Amino acid sequence: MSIQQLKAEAEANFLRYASGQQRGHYESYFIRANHPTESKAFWIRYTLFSPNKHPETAMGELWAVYFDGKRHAPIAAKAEFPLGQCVLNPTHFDLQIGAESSIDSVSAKGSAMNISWDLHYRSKEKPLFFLPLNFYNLPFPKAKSLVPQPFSVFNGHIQAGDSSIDIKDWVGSQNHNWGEKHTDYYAWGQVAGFENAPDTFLELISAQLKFGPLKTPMMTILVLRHKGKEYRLNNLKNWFTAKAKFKYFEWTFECENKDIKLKGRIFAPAEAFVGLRYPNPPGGNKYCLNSKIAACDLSIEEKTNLGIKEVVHTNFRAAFEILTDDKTSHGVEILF
Amino acid sequence: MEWKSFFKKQRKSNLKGKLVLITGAAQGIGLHTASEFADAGCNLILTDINSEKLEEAHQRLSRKGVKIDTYIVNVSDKEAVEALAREVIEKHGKLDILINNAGIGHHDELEDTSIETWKKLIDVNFWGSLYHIYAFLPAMKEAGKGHIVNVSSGQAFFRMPTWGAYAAIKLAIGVISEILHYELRRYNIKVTTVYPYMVNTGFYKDVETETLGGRLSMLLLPLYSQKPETVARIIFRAVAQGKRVEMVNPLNNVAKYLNVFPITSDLMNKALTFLLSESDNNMIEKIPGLQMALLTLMSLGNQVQSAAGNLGFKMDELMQGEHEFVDGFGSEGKKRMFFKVTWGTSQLLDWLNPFGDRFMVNDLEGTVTIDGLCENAPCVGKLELKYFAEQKIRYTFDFEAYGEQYQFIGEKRNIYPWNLPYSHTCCFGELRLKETGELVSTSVTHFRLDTIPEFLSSFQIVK
Repeated sequence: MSIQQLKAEAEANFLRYASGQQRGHYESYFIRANHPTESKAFWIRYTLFSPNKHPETAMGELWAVYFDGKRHAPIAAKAEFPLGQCVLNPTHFDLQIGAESSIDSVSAKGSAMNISWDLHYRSKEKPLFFLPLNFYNLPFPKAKSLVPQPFSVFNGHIQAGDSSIDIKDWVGSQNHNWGEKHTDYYAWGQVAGFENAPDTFLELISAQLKFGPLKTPMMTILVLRHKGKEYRLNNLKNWFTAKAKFKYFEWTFECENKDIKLKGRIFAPAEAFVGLRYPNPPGGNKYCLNSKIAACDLSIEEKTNLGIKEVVHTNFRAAFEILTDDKTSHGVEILF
Repeated sequence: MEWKSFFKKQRKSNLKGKLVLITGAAQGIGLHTASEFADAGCNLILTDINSEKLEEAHQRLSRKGVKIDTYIVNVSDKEAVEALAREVIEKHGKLDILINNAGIGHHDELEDTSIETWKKLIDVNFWGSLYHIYAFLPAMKEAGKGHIVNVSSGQAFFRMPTWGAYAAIKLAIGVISEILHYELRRYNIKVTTVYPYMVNTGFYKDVETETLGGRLSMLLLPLYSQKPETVARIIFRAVAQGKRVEMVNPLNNVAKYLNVFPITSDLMNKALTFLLSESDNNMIEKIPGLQMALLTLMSLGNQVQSAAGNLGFKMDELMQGEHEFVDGFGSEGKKRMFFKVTWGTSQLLDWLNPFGDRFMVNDLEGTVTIDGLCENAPCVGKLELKYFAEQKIRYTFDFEAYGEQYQFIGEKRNIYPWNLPYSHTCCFGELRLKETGELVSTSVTHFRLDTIPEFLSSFQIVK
């Protein structure tokens, strides 16, 4: 393994935000996991937000959503804290937002509104880099993301409203993303274990960027860990050759490289989504339609393995997010 | 997620408890070799003709907690050596390792070397070793094992003018020793022949030379010579590994193989003769300006040497990152770790000498913070810039926490020009209990690029 890779892995969770920086910045550490057998999931996000040229108004945010497929609406919460009430470590993953909420490499605890959590997690997997390594040091794309701890196994407790949930061996991930602005329009998905392929990890994004009045074509990149191999369909060629389209609330995609051919669909009913308002560092807002109990079907054709095709699927373990400027037409209420 | 262990376990010698006899052990290579074997837990028999120095050596080495016997012995006295052997075998019943190190130097052209000098050199450097071999061989054969080390010299390969008598005898002992290696194999007795290159001991201190080349070579001795402790360490390692021949310095190999080819051998010897021989030196005087140029060069060299001899530098560096305890040593998860150290050297010449054991080796001291173990604990060690040999930078330091001694070894790896931003800023470390070597924690610490101004501005020349 190259030194560049080793260094990138060691720094996967290091904070990219420098206190007081003038350039706008958002940076999030989020954890998410699914119940082993039921349509239940949680998503907890620790965010630093600093508006462009106004570092004095930078703040720490806590976001938490508990999804239960049997209930109609997810339970969601958000809390904001001035940056002065946050403890940042540039070279050690140990972020504290507010007096009582923190996250490090093995634990997360805290509370926001009517949700509180006290969780421990461990991952034996190597970090998953969604972009080619060099891209993390380049100005483009403006939003970066990676999965420092895929296949994290969570244990602990969550209190969501009047629901008390014991978390026992829920499987998910610990994620890290940052940038000076949110990607203009995207669908993001992640599956940490399919029902019939519990060791398969999928992460993908289809995005469209705006340059003034112009929009790029839909670009899709994908990384798949399957049967001990990692397939990275994330080079520039893949960005433009992959086919993908999404709508409320279904996303289809097709992509391939010399080793593998993938075709998939991620979908969920509107009731499985929560609507969240993400302030954008340059100004304005983006709206995130967020579900962690979506379904996913994925056809995997390994070209190097005699062309054997298999279909993996999950009914409720997929993360599915759409980030849009559209506040209303999807029908999901924007909560915060 | 656990960081992988990058470090191979250090080879442990199996020499503990062995009885080692070293001749000429009062100073120089002999003394340092004794120190290496004492560190490995060997019991020592030290002999020398200089009683005062031998007593000093005894006192210094006795702190290492091994048994030490000393004998004042003239190695060229056959009866004295045989008496020594009888006493040693009677007292200990065996001798595991015999190191024939004692020797004297001589430096003169052959026509000026007296027969008495030849006899004295042969008595000490040749018969001295043979007397010991013959005296201790029967006991080793009876024991069915043993190890004999004969210290020859790199002069055996260089054969430099003015070193004729010395080189001839050292070559002879080298040849005997290398042959002996094969002859004694059937008795399970190992023989190691060691060829030290020029060693920066008192051995060369008193060498008087009138030729410009000779004076130049003595002037530059600190740059190309090796320290006795370095040679001693190499001898110890050669014994531990049971090596047949230990060339000590790559320059010996160069000379050895240059001698194989008539053309290169002739060229080398002509060049050395030109520089070192008095008769050829007269030619230098006849070439207008050459003598002046060489004298100026030497004068400059002298000034540089005297100025740089006590010159050094130091820098401050901050490495920060994370560590993770191995199971059983602390709570799980990555924790903060950083060390803030000052490193540098006070001996710039040694630091610049590629043949010395302090080449690009820096002293290091500062503090280390390892969450879950210590906070700002004072640490002392060294920083080795092994760019050329291993493409690595290695931090080694010791510190104490909760009454336990710990050793940290961290490496920046794969240092090549094309990946400097990654390799030069990322240190993979292991923390071990000093006494047992048990792994306590693994770490990755980073040199942050935004600390470069602070790092560079911390540079200081020290005198």
